Amino acid sequence: MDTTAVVSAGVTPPRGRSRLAGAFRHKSLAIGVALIVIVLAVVIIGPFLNSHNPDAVNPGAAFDPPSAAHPFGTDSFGRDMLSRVETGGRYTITAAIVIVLLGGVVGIALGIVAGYFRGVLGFVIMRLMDLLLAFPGLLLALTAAAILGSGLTNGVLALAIIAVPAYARVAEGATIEIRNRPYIDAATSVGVNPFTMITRHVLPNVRDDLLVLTSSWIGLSALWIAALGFIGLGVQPPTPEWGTLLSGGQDYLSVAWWITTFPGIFLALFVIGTNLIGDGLRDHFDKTL
Amino acid sequence: MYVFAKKNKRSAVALGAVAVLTLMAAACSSSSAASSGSTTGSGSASGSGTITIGWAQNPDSLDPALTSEQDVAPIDANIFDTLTWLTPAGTVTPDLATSWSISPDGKTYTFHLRSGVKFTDGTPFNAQAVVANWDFITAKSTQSTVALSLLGPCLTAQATSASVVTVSCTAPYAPLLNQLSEPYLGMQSAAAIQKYGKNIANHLVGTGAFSLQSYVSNQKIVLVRNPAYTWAPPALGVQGPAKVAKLVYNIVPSPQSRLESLESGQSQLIQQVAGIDFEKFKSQYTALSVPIPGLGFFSTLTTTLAPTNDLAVREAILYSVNRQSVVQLADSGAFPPSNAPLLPGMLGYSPSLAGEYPYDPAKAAQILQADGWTKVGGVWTKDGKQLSLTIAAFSQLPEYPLFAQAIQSSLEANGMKASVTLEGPSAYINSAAKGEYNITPTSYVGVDPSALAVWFQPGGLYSWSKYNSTTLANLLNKAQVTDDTSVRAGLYLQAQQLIMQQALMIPGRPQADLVLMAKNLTGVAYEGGGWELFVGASLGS
Amino acid sequence: MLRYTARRIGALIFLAIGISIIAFSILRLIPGSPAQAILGTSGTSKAELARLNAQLGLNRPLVIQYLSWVGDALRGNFGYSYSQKQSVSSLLAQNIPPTLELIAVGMVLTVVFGMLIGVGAALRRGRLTDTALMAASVTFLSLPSFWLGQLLIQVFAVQVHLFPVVGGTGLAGLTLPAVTLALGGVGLTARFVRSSVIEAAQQPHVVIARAKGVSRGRILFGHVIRNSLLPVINIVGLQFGSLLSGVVIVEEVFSRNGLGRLLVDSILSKDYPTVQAVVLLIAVTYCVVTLLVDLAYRIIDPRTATR
Repeated sequence: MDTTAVVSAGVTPPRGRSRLAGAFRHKSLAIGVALIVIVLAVVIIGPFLNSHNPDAVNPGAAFDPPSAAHPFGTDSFGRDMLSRVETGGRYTITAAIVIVLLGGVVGIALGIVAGYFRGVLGFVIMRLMDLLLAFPGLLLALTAAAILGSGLTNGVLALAIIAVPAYARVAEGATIEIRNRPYIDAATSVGVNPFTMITRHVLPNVRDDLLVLTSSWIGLSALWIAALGFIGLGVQPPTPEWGTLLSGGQDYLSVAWWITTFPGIFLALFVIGTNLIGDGLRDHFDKTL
Repeated sequence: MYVFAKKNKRSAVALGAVAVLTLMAAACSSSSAASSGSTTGSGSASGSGTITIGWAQNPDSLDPALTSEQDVAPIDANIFDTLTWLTPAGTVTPDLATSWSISPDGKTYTFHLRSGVKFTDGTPFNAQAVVANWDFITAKSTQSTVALSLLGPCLTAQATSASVVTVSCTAPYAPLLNQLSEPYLGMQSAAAIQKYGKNIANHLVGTGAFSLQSYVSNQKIVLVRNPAYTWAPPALGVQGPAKVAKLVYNIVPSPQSRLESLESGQSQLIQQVAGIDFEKFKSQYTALSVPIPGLGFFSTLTTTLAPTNDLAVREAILYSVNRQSVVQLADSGAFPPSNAPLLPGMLGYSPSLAGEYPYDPAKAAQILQADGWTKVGGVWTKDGKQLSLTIAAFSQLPEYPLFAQAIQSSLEANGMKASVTLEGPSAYINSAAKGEYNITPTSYVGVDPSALAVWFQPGGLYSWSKYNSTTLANLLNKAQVTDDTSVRAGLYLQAQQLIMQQALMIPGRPQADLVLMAKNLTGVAYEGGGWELFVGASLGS
Repeated sequence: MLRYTARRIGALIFLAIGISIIAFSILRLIPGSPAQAILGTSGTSKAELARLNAQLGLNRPLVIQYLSWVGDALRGNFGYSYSQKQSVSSLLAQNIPPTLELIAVGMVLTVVFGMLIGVGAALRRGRLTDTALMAASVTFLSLPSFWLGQLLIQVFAVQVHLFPVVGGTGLAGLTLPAVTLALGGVGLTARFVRSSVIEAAQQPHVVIARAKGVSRGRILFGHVIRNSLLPVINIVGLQFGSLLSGVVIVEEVFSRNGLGRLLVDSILSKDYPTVQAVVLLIAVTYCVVTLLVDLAYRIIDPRTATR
């Protein structure tokens, strides 16, 4: 495991700096984890403590500012915003996790196959990944949404497609690097089967890079599924998802600031948290800085 | 890192400061240039001002003969004049036609045209021009939608002299004089029609108080004063030309952004204000609720798609939708709910229809049970299938998704599953025309109850409920043909009773354009259809 | 170098072909008849449908259809949009300039402020300024742009009349959207620049130069920044992609005309010819820019030529 760190490190820093860097590194990981725990706590446990139904429409209580009864206020239909933010979080975060799982599993598999077997198969797979990467950011997801239609499942599929090449590249690079090591070569010539080779040697070596990749991709996926919901191509209203909540609330910014503020804060905190965790993990695995 | 001196950091900071200052200086200088319409709007008695308007919808086409959109009419009303003019009270008055007569059989109209009127390209307005317009609208290659449907059976026009036009109808058509006041039948220059044909939308030429200077799709429409204009409709009370030099319509689909443009002083008038914003800001600005006649907001029920192909289900839907709370939810109660296809104030409306479908979930339950439905797990089920309804929502105007969601919540509260899907402009019309959704919230502007024919007659332009009935068709046809208003009223009443009996639509609410104006904007006039006219408008200081 | 360029251009051509195949198949993959989908409500007559079918050549083999579509596209003919009632190429012509403006200003902001913050943080490494700047950077790149844009409008356009709310022309109208677009990139670039500068400053030749008495300024600008510039060029290429993707949201939020808004509106209107054209245009542009950035990288740093 340390070979990867040494290989990717540039210059070994003087000792004084690594202690300083060490403090910073643990700080970002700690803060990131704290943020995620807070958000998840609200999203998972919150609904049990909150008696309001996120879909309960109550015309008389529309546009109520935050109060004891409704800590996050109510929206245009009189629905309790706290419960909508909590439920919305479940949609957004679950979607983000599924996107990363789906894209990750497919991407890793493709990358390992491409890196291990190389040749024509490897070439074709990696050129396909290049093609997917030729579409910047959301564009591929929008293209998929144009074909598949709107809705949560289609949005998740569309975004999972974007995640595949990122994982494939990391997996392929790491697989090639491992594959070229003498003892692997020796093992293959003796006839150890590829499956054992992959699980015993390749996967553990990719693990660190994949962890870093995953934490930033969860944050990115959350942002993107919310963006799709915001545009009107992902989750359809009135399903509370942070993106559709932000979209619905933007019409009332002048009269009810709380409808957009709280979903926005939670989404931002979630993404900041995942990014900080990613930072922390990267600093932990890579000793350059 | 102590290698680097402060001196270098200072230069880095200086670089950044310069960058920021340059940006801000540029911003301030060009913002003062760009916002010539801001704060007070720089208007004066000498008439050199610009009125900036926050507009909700991007036109599909600015040409009156080609557009199908409600929101294009007010813009066209300032570029084009029409033969007749409808006062807000609903009376037909002269405009480009100074007088008219109708033949005893009701099939021929003779219009005497106003003299001295010119198009902005210099060509004169005369009977030949009127005929050219008629030919353009009725030509198959033009593919006119609303304008053509407004003409009804009166499809031929002839110039009997330079200032007299006769219009011939294949059957008597009582609504004609009303319809002729709608901007969709605005008179365009014959020369322009000849030159551009279908591509005329970017080369509009009319006789109105303003002419089109530029149009950037989805961004803005700029109209400039027509200095030769002295022929405003007499009933309007002003003669012309316009007092301000320019009208700028900024196309801003988001009501929040429109409101913000008013708050910041960039716009002096915004339309289609959300109910809740209207309530909150009406004390700070001049607030108008401009009634828009027609069928208002309502939803069609598709009779060719399960489960709304079942009359019992449609009736149950009508008893299960709490129309009061729908309006409360969708518009913060800024309007009263409707109870019938036609709105109060329109010929043919009768209060007797008001009691047709009160909110009565118990009755709905009765009807469904008699039809073989049972409640399983809180949802109505029959033959193992749940009662599941699809609702289309036009994505570009916020009222539609709100309305759709409000109806959805009402239905779900009463054991029916309902889902809302957003559709963009042409996709929305397309899927409605194909009957792909059970419930389609929509709206229609019109000055005559013959609007019902557009929606509920087989072959009508928007017959989305796809209901075919010769009885209904006969009623609507007869009502169009006779001139006698009391006979018409009776026929339309029967037609509405049949429509409600068959539960072809869910009434919604009347339409009104909620308008907020800066206090220094005065003289904005309204025509009977709800269209804004700026010929007499001016900006105070 | 020449061989590398030829190889990359070859790769670009293959990518462009792949992109065009994907774009082409958008219209063919949706359920139902493509002609019906394109015509929308205009297509209620069978004659109209048949005419469009013939025009699009939907009866010909798929490969021929693809080739003729590509041929037309290369000549600038992308078909007709029935929902917007104009040719797709005129729609593109109207919407490309505002997007280019926005991306250009966004890129300037990204590079300038990304470098300022990154260098500033590197200079104060380990201290409070560093932590603060890096915390700000993480926040910048995590904020949803659709939320940020609305907040900026509220504060800087409504409450303080510094910028127009909508439809502003020139720099004034561009500022808020460009800031919203670029903020994420600023955060990302700042982090990258910081680590790049730190790494460059640790190079042996820099330490030695300082020991020899070379002035700090000369070291900063002469060595460190120049050497850390290289990876930054790479990041600029990546940022272009994220700016291209970000305009979709920003143009919607600020009601600005542009390719992003055109794309979203076309998807919602099921205006497939326009969707195809915009997707093709954006993806191919991104590839070309990436290629140019890579070539520039190689020219500036001859060392990479041997790798």
